[in-house]
Amino acid sequence: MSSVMNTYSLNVQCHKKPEVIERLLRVVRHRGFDLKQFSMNSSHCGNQLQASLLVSSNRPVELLTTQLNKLYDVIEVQKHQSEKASVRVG
Amino acid sequence: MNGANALVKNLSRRGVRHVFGYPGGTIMPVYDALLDSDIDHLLCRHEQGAAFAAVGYARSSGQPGVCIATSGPGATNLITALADAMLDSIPVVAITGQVPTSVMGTDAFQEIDILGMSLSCTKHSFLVTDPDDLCETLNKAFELACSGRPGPVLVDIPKDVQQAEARFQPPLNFVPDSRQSTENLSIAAAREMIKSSHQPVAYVGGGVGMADAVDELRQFLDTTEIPAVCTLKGIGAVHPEYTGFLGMLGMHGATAANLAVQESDLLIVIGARFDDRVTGKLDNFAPNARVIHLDIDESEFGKRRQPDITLSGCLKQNLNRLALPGQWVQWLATCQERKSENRNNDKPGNDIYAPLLLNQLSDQLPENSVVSCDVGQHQMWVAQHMTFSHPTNHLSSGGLGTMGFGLPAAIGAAIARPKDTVVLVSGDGSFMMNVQELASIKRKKLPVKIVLLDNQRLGMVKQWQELFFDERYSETDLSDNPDFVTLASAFDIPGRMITQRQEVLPALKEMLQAEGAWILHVCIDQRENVWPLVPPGASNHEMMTEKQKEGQPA
Repeated sequence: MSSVMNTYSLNVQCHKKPEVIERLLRVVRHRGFDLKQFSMNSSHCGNQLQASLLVSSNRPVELLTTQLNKLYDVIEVQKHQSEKASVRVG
Repeated sequence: MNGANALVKNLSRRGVRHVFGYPGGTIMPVYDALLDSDIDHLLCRHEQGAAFAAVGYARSSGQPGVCIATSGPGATNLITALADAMLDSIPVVAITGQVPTSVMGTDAFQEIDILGMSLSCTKHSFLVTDPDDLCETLNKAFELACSGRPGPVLVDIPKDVQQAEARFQPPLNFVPDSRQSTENLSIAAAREMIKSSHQPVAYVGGGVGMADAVDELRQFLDTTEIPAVCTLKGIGAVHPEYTGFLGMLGMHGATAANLAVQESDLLIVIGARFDDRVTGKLDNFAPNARVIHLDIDESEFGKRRQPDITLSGCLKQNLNRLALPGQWVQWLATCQERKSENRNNDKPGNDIYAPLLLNQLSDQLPENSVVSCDVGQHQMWVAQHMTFSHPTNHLSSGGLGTMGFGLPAAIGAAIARPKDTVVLVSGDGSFMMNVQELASIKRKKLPVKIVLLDNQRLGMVKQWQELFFDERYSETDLSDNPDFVTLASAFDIPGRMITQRQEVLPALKEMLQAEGAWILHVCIDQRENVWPLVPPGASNHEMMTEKQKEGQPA
C-alpha cells in the first residue's frame, strides 16, 4: 500500500432510500478512506439523492469507487480530480 | 390474502421446496401461512443453525437457500451465517420478522435494527413497509441473491405488514446476468499473453463453481494443458484426474502448487481474489508473473494485485475463447514431478493418522458424495487429502472461517440431495458450536454420517501457539469434552469410538453401510499438525514442513 495520502472528490447518484447514506459511509470507512467533507441533496423529483464526498486515503480510489458501484441503490459514481495536493505521511 | 400468505405463495410459486428457520413473535403470521403451504420447513434448534443449513443447501444444490427468523435475537442469530455467505458468495435469502411499524424505533420487545446490522454482511437488505411491495421486494431479493456475484439478501418484514391485506405478485423469471463477455480486443491480448508465456499456471477459485463454469474450465485445461492450482473454495472445479492439477495453493497448500505459482511467468486467475491465505506475503506472490484476471465482480480487479489484463463478464464464454492448444510440455512435466514427490498422507505407527483416514474415507465414498467440514486442522486435512469431483461436493467455510458451519451445512445438503451420501467431517471444537443441530438430524431422520476427529484441542490455535507463541497453550485444551458417542445417542444417532489405526477401515465401512445417521468418534494424537505451513508474513515458497520443524533435512 502506498504511503502517499491522496484526496479524492466523488459524486454519488443514488436512489433515495432511508438507509442509503449509511450504506455509502459504511463502505467509505470500511474500505480505508477518511471522510473529509460530505453533503447531499435530493434530485429527480425527490426520488434520488446526490451525495458529494471528499475522501482521503493511501489506497487507490478505484478500491472505493468499485465497491460503491456495487451497492444496489447506487446509480452512478463520478470521480473528480482532487483539488488538494498529495501529502506524504510517515 | 394477507402479506404472510402472499409471501409464502410467492416462495412456493418460485419453486422453493425447503426452508430453514425458527419461529417467534413477530414472524408468526408467516409460520401460520407455512402450515397451509407445500413448502417443507425444517425447524432447526438455533437460528444460526437454520441459516447455515440454508447455506449448505445452496452450496450443495446451486439453488438459493432460504432461512426464516423472528425479530431481535432471532434476527441477530442469523448474522454470522449471513456474513459467511457474504464472504463466500452464497445465494441465501433471509426473511426476518420485525416489530409492528407503529412501535419501530421505540425499543420495543425483541426490536433490533436488523437492517442496520446487516449492512456489512449482506449483498443488500430490504425493510418492507407497504404490504403491496412485499412480493415485488421478494422478487428483487431472489434476483439479487442469485445474479452477478451471488450473496445473501435479507428481507425484514414488520408484523403488521405480514398481517395486512397485500397484493400478490408472482415470481419473475429473471434472466441471469449474461452480460456480453469481454470485448474481442482483451480476449485477443489475453490469448497472445498465454501463447507467449513459458510457465503459465491457472489459479482457480470458487467463482468457477458459482458461475456453473466447471465444464468450460475443464475444457480449457484439457485444451491448453496448463498446470492448475485451486483455492479452498475452488476445490472440485478442476477434475482430480487432470494431469496438470497440483492441488490447493496457499498457507496450507501443496508444495507443488505453491512452487508452480511462485515460478510462473503468467497467472491466469479464474474466479479468485488473491485472498491473504492464498498469497502469503503479497509482494512476493508469484513475483515474476503477469496476470490475466477473470471475474464477474470488477471490484476484485486490482484489489490486491494489479492485473495486466482483466476479463469481466461471462466466465463460460471467456474460458471458451481463451482455450488454445498447449505448448508447455517441459513445464508441465516439472510440475508433475514435484507433485509426486510430495505426497504426505501416511505415517508409521498404530495411532490413527487423520490425513490417512481422510484419504481412505475419500476412496470409500460413493461418487458424488457431499463432504461438509468445519473449521480448523481437520478442514485443511479434508482439503489436502480428500478428492472432489465437483465444487458442490465440498462444503467448507472459506472466507469467514466459521467454526460451527459444518453440522448445519451438512443438514442443508442432506435436504437438498437426499439421494447422495452426506458426510460431516468435524473437529471436537467446531462440533460443539452448533451441536444442538443433532436434534434437526433426528427430527428429519437425515442419514448424515459424522466423522469427528477429536484431538481434545482447539487444534489450529494450538498449532500456532506451538509454532509462534513459544508453546504457551492458552485456552486450547478441550480434554473435558463430553463423551461424543453418548451425546449422539441421546439424539438416536448410533456410532462408535475408535483409537487404533487397524480399526479405521472396518469402522468406515460400518458407518457407510449404516442406514441412517452415524457418528464415528475418532481419537487422534493432539501433537499432529497441518503441514506444510506458510508462516505468517512469509512468502509461499518459504513453506515450513514437519521435518524442518523437527530439525531434520527437508
